[in-house]
Amino acid sequence: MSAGLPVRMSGQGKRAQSAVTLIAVAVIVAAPCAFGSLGLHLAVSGGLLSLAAMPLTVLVGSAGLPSLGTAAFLCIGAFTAGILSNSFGLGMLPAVIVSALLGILSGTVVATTTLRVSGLYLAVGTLALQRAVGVIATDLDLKLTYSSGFMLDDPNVFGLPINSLQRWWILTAALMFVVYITFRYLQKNHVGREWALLRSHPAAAAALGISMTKSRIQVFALTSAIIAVVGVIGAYNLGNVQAGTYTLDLAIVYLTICALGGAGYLLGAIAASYLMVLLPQAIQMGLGLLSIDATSRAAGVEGISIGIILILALLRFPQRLVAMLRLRRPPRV
Amino acid sequence: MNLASFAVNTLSTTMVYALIALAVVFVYRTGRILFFCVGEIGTVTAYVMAEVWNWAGQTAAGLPIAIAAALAVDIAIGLLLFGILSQEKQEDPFLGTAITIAVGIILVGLMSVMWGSSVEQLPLVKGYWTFGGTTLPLVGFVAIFLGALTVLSVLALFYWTSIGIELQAAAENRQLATLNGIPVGRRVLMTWIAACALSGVAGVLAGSVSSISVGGSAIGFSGIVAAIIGGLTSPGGALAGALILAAGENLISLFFDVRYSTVVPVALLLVLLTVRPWGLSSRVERIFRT
Repeated sequence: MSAGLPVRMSGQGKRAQSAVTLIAVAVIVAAPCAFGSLGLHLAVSGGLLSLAAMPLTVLVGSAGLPSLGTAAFLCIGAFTAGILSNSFGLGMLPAVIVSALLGILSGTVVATTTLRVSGLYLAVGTLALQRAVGVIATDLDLKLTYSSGFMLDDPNVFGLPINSLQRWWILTAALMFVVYITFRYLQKNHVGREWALLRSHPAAAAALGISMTKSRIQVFALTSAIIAVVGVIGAYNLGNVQAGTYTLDLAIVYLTICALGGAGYLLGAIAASYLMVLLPQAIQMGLGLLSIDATSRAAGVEGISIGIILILALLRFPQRLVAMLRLRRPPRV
Repeated sequence: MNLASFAVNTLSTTMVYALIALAVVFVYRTGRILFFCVGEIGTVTAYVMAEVWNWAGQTAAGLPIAIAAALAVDIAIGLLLFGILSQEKQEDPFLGTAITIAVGIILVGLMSVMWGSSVEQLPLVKGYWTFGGTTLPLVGFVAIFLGALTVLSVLALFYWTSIGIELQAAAENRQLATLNGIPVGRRVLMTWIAACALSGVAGVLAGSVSSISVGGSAIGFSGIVAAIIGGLTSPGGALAGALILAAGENLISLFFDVRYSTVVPVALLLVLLTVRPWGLSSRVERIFRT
């Protein structure tokens, strides 16, 4: 949630501001191309992370509904893509549509089964979803592919094959823009304000005639659908769908991103996603400098650092650091 | 699998879950925090104990050293958790829960760095007991005995000693307890250490009944579900929950497949959340649940 009310600006100021924003966006989109294929690869992975992190930060931050089910919804999308492609020969767009519907359905189911609980119990309920989806996915993986995973070809978007890193990055950036604009609009809109009011003042919201049932189903269905669609796109980007990818650890990585970016802040979620992508690279490089064999222990070290970052983010360490620096800065004359 | 071995399996699983569920209940009562890293703490403890005992040559003389090392690990983790959580002054219970999740991730990372994917054995008791035509491993009985002993002594401590009563008071109303001269901070620290030690015992028992691996941390989820079935605040309810869960899991692996036994806690949890979110006990308590 944005802290203050949106500031009203004159038409000219608004136009100048949007021009500056457009130029900044264009520069940011063009930047990874300068770093070659590794830069593009990191840009795409971070973008895909942020695509699911944005709906989650709205769910957790704006609506105040902590969820550990992100990996489960991603898994639903990815397996839809895998099964539709391998068994029915359908491409990405049908998978996107079907997975959006499945996301809405499963989100509604989660919202209705957990209507009576909130906070901690809600997180536990979504954890149950994660476990259930994990068991089903492992079973499907075993029966349909003998645990080798579904293979996916390069997708086609309206006849244009997405077969190079540049095209992947353009697709990801476009989707990031669409998702960001959608949620920014919703947060400022009466729908988002209803969610926020239900989080902060449930009694006042009830008195104003806002239905908790409707609101919860709305936010869960919407965010789950988007996360499931991101699951499809992520699966096509990986080229392989396996049940082992979508574990609780992944859900916690997403939760860490939301905590790090500040609950409810969309741009924070994007920035934190890129931090999360760059972190393993930095660790690998650090271990390489210390001449430690990084390949076998990397996963463990990554887990440790993600845990430490999550704790620091939860304890508001960045904010404290900023406050400390402000105190130390000499007063301006 | 016949009746005798089913009973032994179910009871030893019940003891493991009951210990974890008790740890979860104590932590929840004192700080409204759901103790998510119980399974990980148990597995780390079991690994350390197996490692130290192997180093001592698996002798009876090495056992006290191994137990002391395992306890030291639990105390260290308890101190660490208390230290981190006392930094957090925002009174948001979900933050504390998320911090225990983060500690769980760190412990899993630590385990995979130190032990990789190795599966360790902890042969506390070797030997078999032939009983009416069926041969049962003795370790199951030992696990049941040790687990029951720990559970009963913890419950006795909680209900009958002054420290236990003080803990209950601190859980009920922290300010009033402080005004009455109860050292609340010290009692909370004690709860954390006791909870870590309980999960450590559970991990060691689970490890000696089957084997120790990083994936074994999944017992934590079952223990948490057992505590939730019991209503999260009642130790007796947690025991009942552990029994229900263990019986369900063992029945599923008896009639279907071991792979599907993970469905039991999930299904029980979903039913519970929709029908009776407050758990089995319908006791009205002043303690609110977040």
